[in-house]
Amino acid sequence: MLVKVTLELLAGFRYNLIVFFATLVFAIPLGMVITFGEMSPIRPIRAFFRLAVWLIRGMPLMLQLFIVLYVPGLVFGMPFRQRLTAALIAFSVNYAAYFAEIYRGAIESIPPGQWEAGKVLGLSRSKVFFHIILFQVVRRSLPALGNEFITLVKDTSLARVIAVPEMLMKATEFTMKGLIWPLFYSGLFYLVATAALEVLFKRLERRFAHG
Amino acid sequence: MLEVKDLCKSFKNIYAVDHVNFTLDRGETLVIIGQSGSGKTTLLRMLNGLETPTSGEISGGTFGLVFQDFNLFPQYTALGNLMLAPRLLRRDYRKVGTSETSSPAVSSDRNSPGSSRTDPLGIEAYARQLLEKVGLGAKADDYPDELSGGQKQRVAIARALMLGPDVLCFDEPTSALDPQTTSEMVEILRQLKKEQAMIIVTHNMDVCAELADKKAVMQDGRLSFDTIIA
Repeated sequence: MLVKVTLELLAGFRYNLIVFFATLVFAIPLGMVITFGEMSPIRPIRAFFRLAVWLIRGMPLMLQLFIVLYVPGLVFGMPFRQRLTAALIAFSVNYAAYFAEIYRGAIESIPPGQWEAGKVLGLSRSKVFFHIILFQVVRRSLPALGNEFITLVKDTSLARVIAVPEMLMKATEFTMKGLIWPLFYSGLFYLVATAALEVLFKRLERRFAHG
Repeated sequence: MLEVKDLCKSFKNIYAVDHVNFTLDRGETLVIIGQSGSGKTTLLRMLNGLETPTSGEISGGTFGLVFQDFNLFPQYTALGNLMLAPRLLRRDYRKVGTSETSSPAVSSDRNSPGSSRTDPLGIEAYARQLLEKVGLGAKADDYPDELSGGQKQRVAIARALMLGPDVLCFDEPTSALDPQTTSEMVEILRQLKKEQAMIIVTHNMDVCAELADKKAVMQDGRLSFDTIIA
């Protein structure tokens, strides 16, 4: 029975991993775009991105999953058929908004003297950003990003609300058949994943020790 | 020769720098003394392109700046701090130090015969030479957070010298240093003075007495050369 349950849960956990990695792939760069938008010198662009971040962070992720799944059908008559795709969009946009705030905080915490030292050495603004500032932004973002990554692992279980057959959904199916322990057993998978992330971030923080 | 003519910087009609005029010859050192808020740092920032003058002219030279708090790049070693800008700007150091030129050129030639494969433009060799010159040859691979205040400042000086400025500016070079390190710094500046025009902004009268060819007082944005400095 343990093997059967484990295999079933692993089949579900595959979806959690897909949502996790795809969200990171899209949200990490999208977050940077939002950060630049929020810090734009052009006021309407800045206002647009700040409003977007407020809307995204102000609503539950669960609600956003429903919005992405149902609104295209209700408004444009084009319902989403791919539930996994809907989940990926909702997760990516939601996490991008949080990442953007982390990046913005990190960029604003870089002493202006770093920009000025680059300028005095004759470097353009983009060269200063990519060769001097970015590394320090990553360094300063790492602890907060580590937290978000761990939260994301656990949040992937929310995908079940739009019927993505992730691990917790599989565990609940066992419960409905009168078997409760797979539900608690599924916690072990999350613990292993979050422990791996903690090790990864400790290593990254050592790698980025100077900065 | 560097010439600064009627240089002004105003913020909301208040002059931080008020019609400043001076000239500086090659190899001369100008020391500017003044209270906090008198406009000294704003003047240095304008000379180095960090502030746009409201009016006036700066002509006849390129500048380098050693910041009060050094502003080294923490993710690069001492050597990396020196090499970053020359590498990105593709400066050519193969002829620097010869009789032909004393400042680096912009390279158009990627693979000239005789250049090392790992250091084709001689950037690393010159950076190591400058670190030796400021007494930090053994610290080339240390990161800024592994260096003392005086060592950081010496890296900052070497970094500014990498680009071969005509005039090297110092913003309060001794304010963050203890007395022992201050006297070491004054010695380095004294050596540097032999071959480099400098503008030093300081509160330290000893530094002024030791190093100045020209002395000036800055007060309320005005620079005066005829005030007697004790």
